[in-house]
Amino acid sequence: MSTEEFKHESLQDKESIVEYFTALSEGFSKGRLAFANKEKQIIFEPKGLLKLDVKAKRKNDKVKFSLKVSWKEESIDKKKDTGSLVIGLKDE
Amino acid sequence: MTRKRIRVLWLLASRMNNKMLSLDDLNENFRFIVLEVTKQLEETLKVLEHPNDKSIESIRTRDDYIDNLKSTIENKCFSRILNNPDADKKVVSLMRAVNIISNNLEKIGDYAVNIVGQMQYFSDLVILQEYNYKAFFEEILKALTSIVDALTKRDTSMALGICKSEIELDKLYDSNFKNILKALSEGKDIGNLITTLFIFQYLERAGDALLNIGEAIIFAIIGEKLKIHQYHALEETLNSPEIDTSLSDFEMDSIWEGRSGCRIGRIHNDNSQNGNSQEVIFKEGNINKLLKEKENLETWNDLFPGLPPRVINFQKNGQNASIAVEYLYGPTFQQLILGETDASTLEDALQLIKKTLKLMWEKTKKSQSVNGKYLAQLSSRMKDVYKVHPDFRTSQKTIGTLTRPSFEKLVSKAGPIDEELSVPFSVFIHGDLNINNIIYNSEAKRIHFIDVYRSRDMDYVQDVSVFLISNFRLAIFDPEIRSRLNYIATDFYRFARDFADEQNDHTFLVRLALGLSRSFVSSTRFELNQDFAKAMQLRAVYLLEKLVSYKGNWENFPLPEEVLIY
Repeated sequence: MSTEEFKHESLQDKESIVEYFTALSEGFSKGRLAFANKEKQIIFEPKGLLKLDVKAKRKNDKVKFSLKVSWKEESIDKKKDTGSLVIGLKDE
Repeated sequence: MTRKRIRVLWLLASRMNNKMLSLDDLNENFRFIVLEVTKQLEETLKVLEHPNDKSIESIRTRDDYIDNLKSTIENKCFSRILNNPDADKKVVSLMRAVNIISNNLEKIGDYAVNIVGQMQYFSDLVILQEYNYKAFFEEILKALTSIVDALTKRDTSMALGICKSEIELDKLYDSNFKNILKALSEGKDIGNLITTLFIFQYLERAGDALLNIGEAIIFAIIGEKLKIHQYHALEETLNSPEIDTSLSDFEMDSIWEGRSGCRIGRIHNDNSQNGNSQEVIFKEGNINKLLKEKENLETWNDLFPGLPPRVINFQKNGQNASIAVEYLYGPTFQQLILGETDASTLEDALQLIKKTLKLMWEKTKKSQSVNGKYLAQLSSRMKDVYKVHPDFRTSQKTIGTLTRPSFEKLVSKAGPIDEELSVPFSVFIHGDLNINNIIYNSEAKRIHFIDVYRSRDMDYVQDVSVFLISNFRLAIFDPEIRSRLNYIATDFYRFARDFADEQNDHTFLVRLALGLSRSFVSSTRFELNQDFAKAMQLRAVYLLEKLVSYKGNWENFPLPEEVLIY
């Protein structure tokens, strides 16, 4: 079993965050999501059924909104890695 | 706590002058105590996993051996210091560090005994296995493994790593504590849960002992970066005067290696009888630096009499010089914010700071083009930042068609903005306007500036950004104090922005964004709390990305004031 991981943390404002959503939504339209840093690249090719979880939460002044997309990569005989994409937003 | 402890050690060490010593046989005892405590912890972990009387007994026996080792080390350290009145100061520091470390190792050994002592109270060991005690042991053992190398190789990053383990252990304790509380609320297995909680408490205390150990190693090393903490600690000492003194018969209370390579001390008299007491600050070091400080103090005093401390004496001595300045009574602005100050006093002090700065800026304004070179300042500090936070050296990231540059690339992309944006007028700036360098005298209702050796004609944004971040960067999360800090930052930001408007300074916000980025990042080199350091780093990246991607006229550059709020 192998694990590939990509992580990117940043601060955004409501204007700049749209660029991230646009890049992701383009990726879904093309059926190819690429995440890369200097050393490695992870490519997801979402097909078939994608599970989408949307969560929104407010607790006092802390707000959190998350989108989680998960699916299994196509494989008939053996189970392969599960593709999963999480988009989270948290108010500090 | 940390600073006070380092301060006390320093004061003790500075009073002892010693010569070179052989450390060999002490090193052997030292390596043994580390090894034995490590074994003790490994065996304790085994007992938690598979309790057995034989192991518990061997832990108790080893505890006696550790106690003996500790006493041996203590005796050797003290006798060496006392028998060698001319020994090198660094050797004395090392002795003191070895002694503190072995004391704290012995404490960790005791906690191991305490932990296995809890085993008899479990009626069912399954409960314990539901909690992640192994993570504590991993963290403690990792720190223990690096003690010998950190000290003998004088490795600051390893020492900082040992200090950091305390934060990690606290985090582990917090999360386990919450889980145990939750389980307790269900009303079952109360005895077993409480016993588990006791065990975690001992493991958490081991973190406190490790922090002491890390600090002791840092003290022995006395690296460049840490001089600043020592310097701040001295400031604390100076702000709690406990001795009535006069200049007629003075003695040096403490000597400090300051940030600028100067030794700093407080001079006082031990037998003042005339009631006419006075304390002075004494600095000794490179003549050029001290001349600059003297000049600046005098310039300030000409401009605003009484704003900085008065120069009492200046002596040249070849390449070195010494300066004695008036000791100013009263809390620093930082102490006011953190102390139990009532809101109106704090507000008075803040208003006074703003009023003084405005006067200062208006009075010293000169028509000349100056550039703060904020990103050049940032680049020169990155080496120290990466030492403490290697993960801040981020690489380029790509998400589909979106690309974000590495941190270094981002800084170099913003470089031309920094170079391009000179301001057409200068003011005489403080040069290091952090809230620790402002003293408030509530009786006289006035403020004083200290540490003015970096004062010069420059962009006032330098002072504004340093002041703002010196509020933000305090790792204090008490909601009440945090809201004070946020209020001060916002209020001060608006004050500076209004001044910029009055001066038709149209690129103020752009330069401020550069200055804040510089200060956010460079402040992380003293911040061991990962989450908080990250919050500052991300703010800097956010501001720099905003600057680099901005296409409009600089006059309209938006700087969200929320970056100043935590």
